[in-house]
Amino acid sequence: MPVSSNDSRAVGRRARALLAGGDCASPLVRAAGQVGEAVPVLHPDGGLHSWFVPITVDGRIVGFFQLLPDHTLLRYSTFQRHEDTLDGCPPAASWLDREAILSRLHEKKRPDETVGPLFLSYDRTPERLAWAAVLTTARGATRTLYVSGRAVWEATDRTDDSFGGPGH
Amino acid sequence: MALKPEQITRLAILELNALALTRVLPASLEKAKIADAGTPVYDPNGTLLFHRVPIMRGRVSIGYADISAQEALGEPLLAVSTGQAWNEKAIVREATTAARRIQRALVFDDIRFVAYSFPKIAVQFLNRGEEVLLLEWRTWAVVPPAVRSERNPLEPGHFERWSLLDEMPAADKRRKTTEFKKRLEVWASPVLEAITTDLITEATFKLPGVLLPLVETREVRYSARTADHAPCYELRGQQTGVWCVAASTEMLLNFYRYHYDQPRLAQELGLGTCDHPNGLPYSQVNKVVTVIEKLSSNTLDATLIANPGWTTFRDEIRANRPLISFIPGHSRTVAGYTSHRLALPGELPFKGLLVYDPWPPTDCEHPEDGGVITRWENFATQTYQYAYSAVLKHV
Repeated sequence: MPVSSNDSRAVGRRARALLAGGDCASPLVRAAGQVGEAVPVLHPDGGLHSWFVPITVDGRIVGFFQLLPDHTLLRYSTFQRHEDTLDGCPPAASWLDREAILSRLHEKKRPDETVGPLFLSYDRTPERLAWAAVLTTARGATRTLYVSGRAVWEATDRTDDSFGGPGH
Repeated sequence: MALKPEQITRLAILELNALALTRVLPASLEKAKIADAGTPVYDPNGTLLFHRVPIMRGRVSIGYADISAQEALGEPLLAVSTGQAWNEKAIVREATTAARRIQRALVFDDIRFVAYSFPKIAVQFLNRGEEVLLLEWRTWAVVPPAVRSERNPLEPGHFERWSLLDEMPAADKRRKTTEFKKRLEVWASPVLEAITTDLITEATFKLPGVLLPLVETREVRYSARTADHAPCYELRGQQTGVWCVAASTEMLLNFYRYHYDQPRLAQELGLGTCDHPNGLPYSQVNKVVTVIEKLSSNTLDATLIANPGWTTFRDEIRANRPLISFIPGHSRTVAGYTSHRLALPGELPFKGLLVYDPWPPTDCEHPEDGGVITRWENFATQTYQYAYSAVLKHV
């Protein structure tokens, strides 16, 4: 499903209304949180699953909204361990700076691979958000790498029957 | 017992302002007005059923709300419509013209509105208290008289006159009457007497000392005595990309002050090591029960619950017990809930879970990192596969 800047702006408006509504975020985030640009969350096969709207304070990502394409709230999640501090919130760049994320992904790139466009997706289930890119060898073999939190890993068989995924 | 017009007007104001407060109401109604109790609408059996109350901006109707006059309807607010004006005088004029077309010599001395097939409305022409014609609103088709049929109650035909009040089962009536009375008790609270506005606005209930019980929210705490201690639960990030079950088990055991590190829990659950981790196979979901009981020396009585519903989560949290929640492919813990009591008619009130999610992952060198606290996860959009409760055994 193609997405437009109009979609992104409408999602941003909805996120701002939810943030101001006061039911989800802490008082600190409601007072100081900046609503960032909505990022489409794509299915691993490329279709639009939902929207990720980051909330930042002082260069840290404090939380995010995840909304369905019809703007239904899936969740508001926060990295805050305590409502009145930013302790535990990662630098915003670790989630939002594509160059920084790509450079981390390059740590696991093999010499003969080229890296495709970076996109926000998920591993196995939409709760497990991760940035993804498809890597292709000169012979045309592909694999997907994910980046989330401190982890960089290779996509595995999505049909495996376990909670958490197979070993990697 | 039917409500009086002044009660209807006040109910409309309170209900619509409560929806505005919870941002359920369309923004287009902000600062619109309720001027009067609007149009009484009757059941075909002659009982006053509800009032259609126009929502005004200036002198123009921009929508309407249906406010129940009967306790048996369960909720004071039956419906809100926007973008559709309600102008009783104009409708009566139009209906009269249509009636004259059908019966040029029609004699009538009264007109009233009837929900001939709730919530469908018709205009009823009466002469000396007896119906002489009933026309469906807008189509102006003649509504036929009620017929005796063998059909089940509340399963009317396509264009049939029937009585909602007569066909509603007695048990439903009793239950709905109780619910309606509870709602009226909320609105009868003395602190709400200060609200005398005729405006619909988000600010109406933001008065000092006014705290409406529109939302029920609860989180696990140190004890069930909520006045004595703040919420008490801690997030643990999963230390590998596949250790969501280990992290979830760690969070639950930590709540009961059993502190095992995640690699140890992973070992007990058969999830490998930091360098060679693996997930928990679907076939081994019972292992979580075994590990919780073993590592608590059987002090905790763990139970696996398949396809848990809202009440499973709500009741455990009310008992001050966190749960592990498995969704397809992932595991987290649940430590609270919120449940809105209001929604637009026809929609479900928002229900959300407070989820301590070990994703995104950290690594074994940084166990203090990783994870997010989700406040709230929309219960209606998730598939809940299994839940684990853990009950502390007492001597």
